[in-house]
Amino acid sequence: MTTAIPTAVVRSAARQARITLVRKYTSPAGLSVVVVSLLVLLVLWFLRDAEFGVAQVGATGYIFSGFLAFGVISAAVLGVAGELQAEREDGTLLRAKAVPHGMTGHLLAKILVAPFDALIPMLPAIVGAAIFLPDVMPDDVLGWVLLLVVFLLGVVTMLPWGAVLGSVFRTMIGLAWAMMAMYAVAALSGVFYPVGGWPAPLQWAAQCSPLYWIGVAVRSVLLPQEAAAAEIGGEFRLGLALLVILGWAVVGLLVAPVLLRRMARRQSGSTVQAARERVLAKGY
Amino acid sequence: MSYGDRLVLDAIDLEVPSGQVVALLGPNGAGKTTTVEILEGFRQPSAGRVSVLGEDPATAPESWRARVGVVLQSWRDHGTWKVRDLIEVMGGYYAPYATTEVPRPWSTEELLTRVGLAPKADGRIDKLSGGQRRRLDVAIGLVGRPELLFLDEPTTGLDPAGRRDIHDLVADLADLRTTVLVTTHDLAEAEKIADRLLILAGGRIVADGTPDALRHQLSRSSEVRWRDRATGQVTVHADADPTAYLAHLLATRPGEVEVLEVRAASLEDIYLDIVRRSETDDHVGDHAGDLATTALEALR
Repeated sequence: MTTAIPTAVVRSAARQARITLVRKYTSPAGLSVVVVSLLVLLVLWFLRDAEFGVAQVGATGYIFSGFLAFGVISAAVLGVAGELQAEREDGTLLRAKAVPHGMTGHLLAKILVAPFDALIPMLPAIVGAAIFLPDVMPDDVLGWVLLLVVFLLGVVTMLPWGAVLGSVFRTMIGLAWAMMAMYAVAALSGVFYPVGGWPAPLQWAAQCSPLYWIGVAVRSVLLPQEAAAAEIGGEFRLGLALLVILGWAVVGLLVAPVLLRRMARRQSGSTVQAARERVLAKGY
Repeated sequence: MSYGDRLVLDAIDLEVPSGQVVALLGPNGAGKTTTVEILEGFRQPSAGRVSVLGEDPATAPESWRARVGVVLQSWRDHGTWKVRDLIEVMGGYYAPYATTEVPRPWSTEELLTRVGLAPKADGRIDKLSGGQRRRLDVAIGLVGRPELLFLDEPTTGLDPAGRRDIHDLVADLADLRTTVLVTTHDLAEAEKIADRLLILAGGRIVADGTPDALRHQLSRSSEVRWRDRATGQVTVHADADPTAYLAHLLATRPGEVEVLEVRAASLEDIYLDIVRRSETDDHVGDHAGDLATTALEALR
């Protein structure tokens, strides 16, 4: 890969991103993501009066911020990892490798698509919540700007780690295990709820994961100030969270290209052929 | 090229004049795909020197990619896309490599007509038949107007109509001055589409020439077939000089020989013979230190 990327590559990548998004979200399978969003909205509506946690903050706020944080993580990590794995087997990556600057363009298109892949499934819930449950949404412009910053930073941070998982786990089964591990890490690192009440070693473990900091950042933007009492140290630490997330982004952006290059170099027709034979023989 | 101590390719040298359609023919497992993937730069040879259009494919710059088209066996990608969209997006990557003589990419409409997919231009890719899908792959292989096109087993898994489509399409490429290297295990197919046949067996090129030249050169051997009158057992004997064998046979077994047949071996007999021999004579390990030298020069 050379460092200078011709504008034609950027143009092709943008076009690829546009077609990918249109194809995906105008198909029944793509639109089905909306269902999850609507379900979350329904749950929020039924729980609108329930209260939760030491600070007696509305449960809806926790559910909604957990949903947003996990949405960012799953779209950027699990989505991209799964795509890379599938693309290695159906020949997409090999096709990209066969055209000049194709791999660069393909990955660029992925980066362009990722924020939309994270946002579109959550959009119905966000719009619905803004209309029916204004309490769980930011109440000023600064709040919305912060939410956008946290969202984009979250996607940029998690995207390279998705690429890392997708290039390290070479089979669908391996990737399924990685996903299970990912859910476990998400549960253990307080994506869905504050871990302030946990034993200290668990708190430390949680803070080692970037997922914890994305969870904290989303909560700090969406939840009222009183909710900070349930967090580690009794405060949200938004500034620190943003710095840590940024740090993870830098590390990911350094590691991912190395692994992606290795994956691209190793990609050959026999991977695609073997996958095709496996699909014919086993059906998956 | 070797896997462990098994040498799969050994000292292959090719020079292909521009515009020629060359078929790399060999039984399954002969190393055809490995050879082509090394030439495409998709795989590193374990030893030796490879040169395609004057560059080592493994380290060639992106501008080299723009001169080479690749059509692989088992692409199933971009199923939800429209035919036209995939050709256009892929073509976009070639735009910086346009020259006054070679406008790149090839216009999508023209290309669609050329490969016979114009009526399917706005259809979804996963709705194409096997033959149509392969034609799309060929179209994408051609979209950058390559000097050299690799077609790996282009008719595997296609029905007879699909195969004929692909044969016609390859025959049609002759006027493009694109050099085509096509791999196949099917001799009839190779004879039909190629100007020149290369038979790969046991990791070596064992025969090289036009179908006619090969037939002429190799069919000096003949096949004698006869049945033993008493036991009914049929014996087949291949021999460069069948007269001596016949004289001996008739002299030593008078009255025992019936249904005697002598014919010049067909190209197919020769090919099958080569395949059979390469299967028994497995070429393992003993050359692992040799250089696998592969050179393909398409001269313009």
